Amino acid sequence: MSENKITYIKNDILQEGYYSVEHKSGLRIYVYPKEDYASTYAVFGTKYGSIDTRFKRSDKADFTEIPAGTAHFLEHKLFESEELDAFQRYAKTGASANAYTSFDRTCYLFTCTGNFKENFQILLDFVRHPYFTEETVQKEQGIIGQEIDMYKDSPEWECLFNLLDAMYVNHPVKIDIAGTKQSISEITADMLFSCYNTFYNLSNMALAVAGNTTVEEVLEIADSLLEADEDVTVERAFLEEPAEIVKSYVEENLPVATPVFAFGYKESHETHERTLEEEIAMSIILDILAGQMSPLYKELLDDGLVNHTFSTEYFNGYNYAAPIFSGESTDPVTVAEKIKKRIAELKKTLITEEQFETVRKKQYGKTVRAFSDIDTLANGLVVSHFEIEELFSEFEVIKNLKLSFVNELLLKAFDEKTTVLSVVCQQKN
Amino acid sequence: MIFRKKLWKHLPQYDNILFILRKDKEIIGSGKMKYNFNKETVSKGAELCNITAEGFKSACVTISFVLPLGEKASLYALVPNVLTRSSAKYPDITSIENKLALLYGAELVADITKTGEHQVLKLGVSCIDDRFAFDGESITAECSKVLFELVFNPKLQDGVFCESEVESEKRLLCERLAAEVSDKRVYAKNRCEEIMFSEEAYGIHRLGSVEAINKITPETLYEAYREMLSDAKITVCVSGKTDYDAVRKLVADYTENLERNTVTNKTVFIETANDVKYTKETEPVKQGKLVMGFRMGMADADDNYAARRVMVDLFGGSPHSKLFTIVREKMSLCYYCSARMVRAKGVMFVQSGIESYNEEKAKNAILQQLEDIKKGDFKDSDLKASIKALEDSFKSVSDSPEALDSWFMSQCVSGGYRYPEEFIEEFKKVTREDIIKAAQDVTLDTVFMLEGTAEGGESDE
Repeated sequence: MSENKITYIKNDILQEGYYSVEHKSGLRIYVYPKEDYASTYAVFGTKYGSIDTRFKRSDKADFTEIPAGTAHFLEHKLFESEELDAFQRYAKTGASANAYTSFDRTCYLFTCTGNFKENFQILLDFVRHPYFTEETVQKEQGIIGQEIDMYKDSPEWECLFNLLDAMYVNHPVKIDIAGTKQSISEITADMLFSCYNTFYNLSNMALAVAGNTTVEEVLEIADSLLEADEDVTVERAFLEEPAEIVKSYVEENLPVATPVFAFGYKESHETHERTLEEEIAMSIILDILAGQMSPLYKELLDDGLVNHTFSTEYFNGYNYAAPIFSGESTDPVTVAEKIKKRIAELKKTLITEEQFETVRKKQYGKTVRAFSDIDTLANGLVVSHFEIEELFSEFEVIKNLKLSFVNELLLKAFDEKTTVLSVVCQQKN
Repeated sequence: MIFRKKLWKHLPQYDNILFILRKDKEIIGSGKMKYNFNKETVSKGAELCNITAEGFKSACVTISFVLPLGEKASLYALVPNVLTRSSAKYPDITSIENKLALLYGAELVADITKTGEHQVLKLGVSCIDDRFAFDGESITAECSKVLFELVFNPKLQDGVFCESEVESEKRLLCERLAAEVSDKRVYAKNRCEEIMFSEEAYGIHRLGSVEAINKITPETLYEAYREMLSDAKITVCVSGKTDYDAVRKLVADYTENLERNTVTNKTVFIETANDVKYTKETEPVKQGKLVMGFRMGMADADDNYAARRVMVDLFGGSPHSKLFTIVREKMSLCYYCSARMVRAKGVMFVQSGIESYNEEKAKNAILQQLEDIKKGDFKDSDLKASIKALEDSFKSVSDSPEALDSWFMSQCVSGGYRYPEEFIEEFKKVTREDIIKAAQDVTLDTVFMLEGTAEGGESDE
């Protein structure tokens, strides 16, 4: 492609929109201008997260397997260069920079209120120019080892990964995003270059900028800095995941005042990923089941069984999905029992039209609000791109959602045979 | 989709920096979005602030009560929680939450903070802008009514708060305190403050203590509530495009019959530390935590603030700071290491996560960085970078009504409301000499070390 192809996507409710650019380099670029804002937020992401441990390049014959934690390791290393590291460069222009690795992506970001162009150049430059040697890789093994230790002191983090470990037999979502001390010790500079060349191909990445900028400004810099990559795509492979769980209860001892718990239902689906409609329907179900306006929440609160940390989420991604209830409780087993009981009741009575409309209104309000936050917008654009969704489609889905669809989902979900309860509590003497 | 999905992201080393900036309430929202700040006094001593701005997707209304920080801290801290649990009109949590859901998912907040030696209780509601309502109703006016009902018209039983709800909220507050003990980073910081300010009111935790919470009864709590209504400085703040007149009327209606007798107090500033207090504890955790508390030589919150704030950023507030680039990156002594200033008390804290056997080395390295600044051993480019970083974060204040509320209400204790731009102008004037002078005013007061006794990770075996 020799020209950029620009489309403007507008939303009638918000009366605003964003540009979607098929850049001539092969990268997809999104620009959501907010001229009234002082800040600008940019995020450059690759669809490469902790679960991508087995893959094949389109120009290679065989699948490669890499140690757990490689995506996160690479994220750390990209900040370095032969001269000034990215932080030192941002310091000169004034920006707050960061990066994160999740299960399915790695993102580099910054936010600033001035010198956007310079900051944006730094972002595009360092993400496109990896630099590491065996020596710097070794040094990083020590630093990340410490980081892994620090997360081992975090009860919520441990509780979640213990849950996933008990829930999944083979899926790499069960392994800590940062890997283990053992797995990261196997990482070499060559391996990092190979992963970089596979996953940091522009066709596997997305760039989004939201805030005080224009599409012209973004493209001027992108045009001058981004060269097309070789035509390579990546194919991921996952081991078959059985429908069964590993074990239904798991406990770890850490110094916590109130025990921390996570209670989830492993789901099996015929398709790899959940649709936006399914995700929204499930979050409505979870809100009606256990949200702050639910009878269950009031009962648990009145009985002294949960506190304000109690929450729900529909945890899902490629080949994994699980509604999870989590929080702190002196008696997690009873909490899990009450959740099961409430689900059984709701499956009998089903969700009423009134409940549904109330929660739908709440969802609509939350979606509107999300569009004022440039952090959410820029990250949302990148995530939507990776999931092949359009950012505004959420409004349509909420508007068109049918109660019958939600109730059908409720009846199918929450299989009592696949529940896992994970508890982190103080050692009992 | 991230609107619903929790972002389980591994935020590594840099997370610390953002954390510090956010805690300072300085990354909050600026600049081009046109907004105006006004205040007036409505009825008996209730101050009403109005931040008008158009174009936002949300609006918010908050009520702040400023009280002296003292032995009643636990009682006062429990009040906002009980008020948002039920009211005469909304008898339980379910009916409140149902009402908020129908108001397009409006959010209720009850926040307790410590500003110098004051305890600030803030109750508020934030909602979507009226233009997004389906039937053209005023969401902000309706949300304000809910908020005022909750705060000024509680559900009573025999003339006091409802016992079962008080007991339930006592448990919840105790568990919040307990969670701060579990989080060793927070615990170490809290212990350092407790030891450093054992002779000052500032040593009291913003939520008081578990012992004090356990002694609360519906009677004593109701008495504290009445005191709050009469003694506290009350500030109502309305931000966004709102029905201001409707809120003004609510303030007048709900406060006109209150007996007002505002109590004021002044935060004690101790400029210089004498001896260094040292305390060490052990816990079966993997990573050790070292916290150091310093006096900054300030006579009051405005005493040469700009220079000191820039100095703290240069010392340990940014990714280009000495603590980050030298102690953490170059010497690999700390997993995280940063400095934070508490302007309202004239002190600074350095927090770090270390291998316990590195305690002495880390402590010496941290102090050495401060010595180097005192000697003028820092680059002009780093000074510039610090000023820029502060400019950047102060400018972003105007990007949301919640951020504007947060910015202006963090000044409600003194009531001398200043715009972020005024601070930025002062930062820009800070010179190398000012930084050296500010660093020379700093003295070490307290060191708290939490030694980790748990074994390391799997590869050590």
